[in-house]
Amino acid sequence: MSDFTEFFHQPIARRALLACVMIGFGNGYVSALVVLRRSSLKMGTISHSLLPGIAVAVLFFGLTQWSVLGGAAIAALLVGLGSLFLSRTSRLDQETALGVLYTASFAAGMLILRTLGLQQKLDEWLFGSIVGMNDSDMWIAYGITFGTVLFLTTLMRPLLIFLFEPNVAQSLGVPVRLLNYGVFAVVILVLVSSLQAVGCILSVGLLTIPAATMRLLTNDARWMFWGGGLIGALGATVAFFLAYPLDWDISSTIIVVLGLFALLAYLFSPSQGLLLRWVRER
Amino acid sequence: MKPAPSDPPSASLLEPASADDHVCWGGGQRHPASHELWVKDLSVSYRETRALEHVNLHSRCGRSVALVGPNGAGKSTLIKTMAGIVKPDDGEILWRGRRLDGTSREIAYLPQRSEVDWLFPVTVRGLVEMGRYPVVGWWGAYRRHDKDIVDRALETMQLTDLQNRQIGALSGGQQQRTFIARALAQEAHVLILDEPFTGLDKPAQEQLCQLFGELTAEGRLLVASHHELGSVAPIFDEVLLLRRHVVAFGPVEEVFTPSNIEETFGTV
Repeated sequence: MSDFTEFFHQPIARRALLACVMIGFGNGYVSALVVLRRSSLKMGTISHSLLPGIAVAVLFFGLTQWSVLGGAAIAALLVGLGSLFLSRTSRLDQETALGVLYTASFAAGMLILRTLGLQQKLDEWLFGSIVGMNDSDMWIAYGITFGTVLFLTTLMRPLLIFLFEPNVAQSLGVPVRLLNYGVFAVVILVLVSSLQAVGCILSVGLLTIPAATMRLLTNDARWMFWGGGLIGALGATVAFFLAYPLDWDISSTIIVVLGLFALLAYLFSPSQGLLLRWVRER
Repeated sequence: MKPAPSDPPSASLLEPASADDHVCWGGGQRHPASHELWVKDLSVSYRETRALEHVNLHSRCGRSVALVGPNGAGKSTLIKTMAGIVKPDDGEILWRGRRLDGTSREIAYLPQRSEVDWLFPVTVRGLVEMGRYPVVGWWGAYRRHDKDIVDRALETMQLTDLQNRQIGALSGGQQQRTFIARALAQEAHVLILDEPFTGLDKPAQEQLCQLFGELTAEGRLLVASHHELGSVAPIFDEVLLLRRHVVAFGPVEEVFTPSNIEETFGTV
């Protein structure tokens, strides 16, 4: 344990903890969008498509924060829109088109990154490296979390109507188009920030489990946002304090801890937990 | 309920008032009788496919209009176009003499029940409160007046006791009433409903039918797609037989004839 105290006194450790809290909160907050739109599997495919975007951007512009960020965002956009285009111009449905596009581009991205000799970076993007975040990574994460929460909080009232039923929303004069693009942009940005924390394979977890846990505890969509943020931050913090002493991989620990939270909510939720239902039936 | 002489209809209105004045629910304001909805020469396409061709329709507050036609006849498209959700290629919609460009607070859209995510975490009251959005906007304060209107809408639809329930925990009839309550909270004059009777059991259908009568008696205009031919006459005043174009439109007793129905649903 003294090892840990020593570790914790290093600035890199405190920075990693701060990053956990912030990325956990930002992703947890936005996870409400993903859960309410029932798009967690789609998020999985889009998060995988970030990798080839990063690879191509690094190939052309070298390895910088902005090339990584821009490449990831453009790739997500291309795969999202590309699947729509493919399904409209062929016999394939959109899900199938997504399946084709994201696996093919993911594989291509791996090849490019290996060829560029970025083996170690590849691991970071696949599995995350929250301890390796530098100052500008931190600033980007701050910016994304702050901007996201501000945007969604400002638009919360129309946003909830939009998420509930887009046609009803439009008939009420809700700016549906703005929300459509805004929601997509927010989710992509947050995905990019979670890439650093947990990598693209596990990022769906960070963008789904917090709000899914809240969904088991509340019937109020607003609470799924704030509660999701708190659960995300708490889960990441708990994972941080577990991972080092136990020598566990931090990104996996974050997702496992969040998974446990969801399990606890499923079993013990005061409104609809398994335990409660079992007791009632007896 | 016939209020004293009212302001004359303004010059922009297309036809002189002929029916009695009425008081629309909500604000309790008096309106001239010529609360008219005109659909003029409306054509709509989805990409290459023409969904509606040169559709004309004219009705006014206090009536109920059934949209009847086979699948793919364009009923939902007409509904969504009138609600401002789908943009027409051609033609226009006039409400109270003014051309509708997009949506209007006075026109409420009620989706088909099967299109709604009933597991969405919102309570009955929360859904009804959405009707106040056109007034309160993104940030506007939710005033006493808004709360009163929501209370009244819930009460009118007999949902006061259910207001804190999650919408998925309601029966079909209660779900339909929740959406109507939302339209009342919106203070809508025109309710445009997509298949409101579909999937309801007999008692719920009868209750909704009675409700339709009350809503029109209060001066609202109801436009609803409907697929049960047998119940058009008892529920609706007017009927639009639709098969991408209008086969016939008018009072039910005049145009809902076997030959018109045959022409609407026939294979030729």
